[in-house]
Amino acid sequence: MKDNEGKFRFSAPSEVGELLSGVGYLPSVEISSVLFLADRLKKPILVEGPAGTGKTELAKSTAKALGARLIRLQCHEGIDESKALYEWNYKKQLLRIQSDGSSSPWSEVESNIFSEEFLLERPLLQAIRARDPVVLLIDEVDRVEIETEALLLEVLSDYQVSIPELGTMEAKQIPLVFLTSNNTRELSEALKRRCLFLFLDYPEKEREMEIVTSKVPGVSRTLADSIVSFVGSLRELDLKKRPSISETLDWALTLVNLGLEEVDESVAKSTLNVLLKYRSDIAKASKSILSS
Amino acid sequence: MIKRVIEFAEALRRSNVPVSLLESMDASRALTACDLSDRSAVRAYLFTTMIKDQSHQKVFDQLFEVFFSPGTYDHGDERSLPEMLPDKYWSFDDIDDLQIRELIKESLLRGDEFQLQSLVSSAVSRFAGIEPGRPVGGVYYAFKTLRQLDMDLLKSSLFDARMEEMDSTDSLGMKLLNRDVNLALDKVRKMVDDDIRRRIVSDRGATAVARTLRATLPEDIDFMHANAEDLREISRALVPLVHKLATRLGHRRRHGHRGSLDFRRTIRRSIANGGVPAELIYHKPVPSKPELVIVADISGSVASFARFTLSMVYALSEQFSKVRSFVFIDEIDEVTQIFESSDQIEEAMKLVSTKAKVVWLDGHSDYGRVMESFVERWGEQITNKSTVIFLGDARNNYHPSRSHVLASVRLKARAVYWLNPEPSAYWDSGDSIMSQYSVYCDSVDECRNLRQLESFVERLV
Repeated sequence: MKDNEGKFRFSAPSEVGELLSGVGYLPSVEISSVLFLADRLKKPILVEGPAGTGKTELAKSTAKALGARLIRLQCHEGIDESKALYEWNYKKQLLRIQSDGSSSPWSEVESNIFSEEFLLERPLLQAIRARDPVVLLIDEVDRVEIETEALLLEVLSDYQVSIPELGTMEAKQIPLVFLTSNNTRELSEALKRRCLFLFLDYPEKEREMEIVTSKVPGVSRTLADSIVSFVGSLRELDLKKRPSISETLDWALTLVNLGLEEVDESVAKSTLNVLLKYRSDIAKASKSILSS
Repeated sequence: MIKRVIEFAEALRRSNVPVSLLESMDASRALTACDLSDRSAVRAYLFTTMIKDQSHQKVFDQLFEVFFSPGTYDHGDERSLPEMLPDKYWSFDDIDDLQIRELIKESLLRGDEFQLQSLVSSAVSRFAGIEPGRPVGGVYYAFKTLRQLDMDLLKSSLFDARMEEMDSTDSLGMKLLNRDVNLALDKVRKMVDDDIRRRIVSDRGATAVARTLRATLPEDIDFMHANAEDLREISRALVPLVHKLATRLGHRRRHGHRGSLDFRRTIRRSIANGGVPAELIYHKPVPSKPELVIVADISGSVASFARFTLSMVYALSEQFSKVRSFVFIDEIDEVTQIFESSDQIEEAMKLVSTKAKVVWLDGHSDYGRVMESFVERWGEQITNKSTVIFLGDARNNYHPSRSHVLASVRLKARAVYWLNPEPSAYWDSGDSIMSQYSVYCDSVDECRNLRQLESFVERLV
């Protein structure tokens, strides 16, 4: 490993932390060590966790911190090769054949129309062929069918794409890859094996307080403290949708704008709708936390 | 170190956590890039390479503590915990047993982790009375230590101390404070556990301790032997499990086998091609949605099993055209209404236990009587569309089985299944009369944990 030391993006986990904090993403120790390791082992990162804990944001911030281009593949049901990898621009191919008339022999035309000029790059191929530094984000990978998942395997383990007409395209450089999943479906063992796993849970109290104080100007330590413990106690309830980090921030902003210095019961009650988005959740929260 | 990782991977596999060869190789490679004296980094690296499912975290943590607790493996440089004595004391022996609680409280208030750690460690040496060589998991030692520390007293004194600092005393503030105090106490408990484990591991070796630890994944916990903590864990695991199952079943429904050939439309379409049936048209598959009738024994021994099965079935109720549920002990009552009117399964279960009339005589399960009364009252409504599922251990308390009643149900219903939460080896022992009923069932399945329950439900749909 010694000889290509210079090729690594990060020299230590702490450097990852500094870089990410620099662009406004406060990572936990765990996040920085996984990122560091992904770079060292050249493996993609599979990010799971409840909604709103900053899965996608992590990829975006990493790209920003590294000054890399973010290439994003948003997955959905029914996505296939032509949307994920590449597609032949057949309209252009057709035009090419028509404009040529019948003067040149077929074999020549064939090799002509299956050249790079007629290739439409989709996100995965784009990431493989990029010459500038890129971060590849495969968002909500659990939405694709299990059969389509296999498409990703070649890209993720060997960093190459095989195109029958052109041959195998190998990566110019190994991009940093993030896959996010909301865990609606069990991913295949083969895919999981190839990835490093990172679970983004709701942040610990200390970290969330740091996030609040850094993102919301004018919030005092004591206010941040009570905001975070209140939200933390909400998350312990069995709710339809637990408040995410962004909702904590919204709430903090609300309180600051209202000119409040402390969270008491009446304030919490009247602003609960910033944190919770379902009527039944609000009712449940007021019943179990706010009523005395 | 690599040997340690391999042993660790083996222990994980014994607990049903899949760790492939590639993953343990990755873990070893990861550790070469890691500062081995930094335990949290070691943990993070091993976790990210070997674990791919968050529900495996607890087992991972339990085993990690055993295999990689400080002092039990060769660090890069050996660092022992700094012994942090509180001021005014010369050694830990000077502190008497009562003061130690007071000092723990103070270090909690100050947030002084180091001192807390050494105080806890001292408390364990005093109170746990660890006997070397005994093959125990350490629960008993932890219990002894915590009892001597008197956690309730610690809690109230910590609470009072924090109260004095606060200026506002409205009820929300109280609740949040209470939560904070509980979190602090959990920290002390965890420290005690860790400390004891550390001592046991250095006494008996990691692999031996891992075997007695019996770390189990939530989906492998036996319903019949689950304690309160286990039950909470099962219900937590149930939600994502059901979610995934529903996605899988929905997917199968939409993309599953196509229906039979639509001859008329195929011919119609072929006219466009001069009569060549180039494109075959199929009927849309008609999803068969079974109508479920669940009859559950909710007597003490099998209550939690019934609870999980019912909550899984109701969470998947979209997959069935209709779900009707009945509960019984020695009398049977319909509870479909209760489940349909509440969206929280836990609340519904509570209502069931208070509202349903399930006790007739003595509150001991009587399957024969219940079946008779079931057929008498609802037998008319069992049709060839109904799938009847019995949940119970078939322990009839030596009452007559009246299995002919079940035979009459079998004649009318589409299918009769029986789920038994006991290991199949125990069937027909003692007062269990499983085989008298099983002849009239389409299948009888052992269903001891979430894994088996999940696979049954998947087959059912």
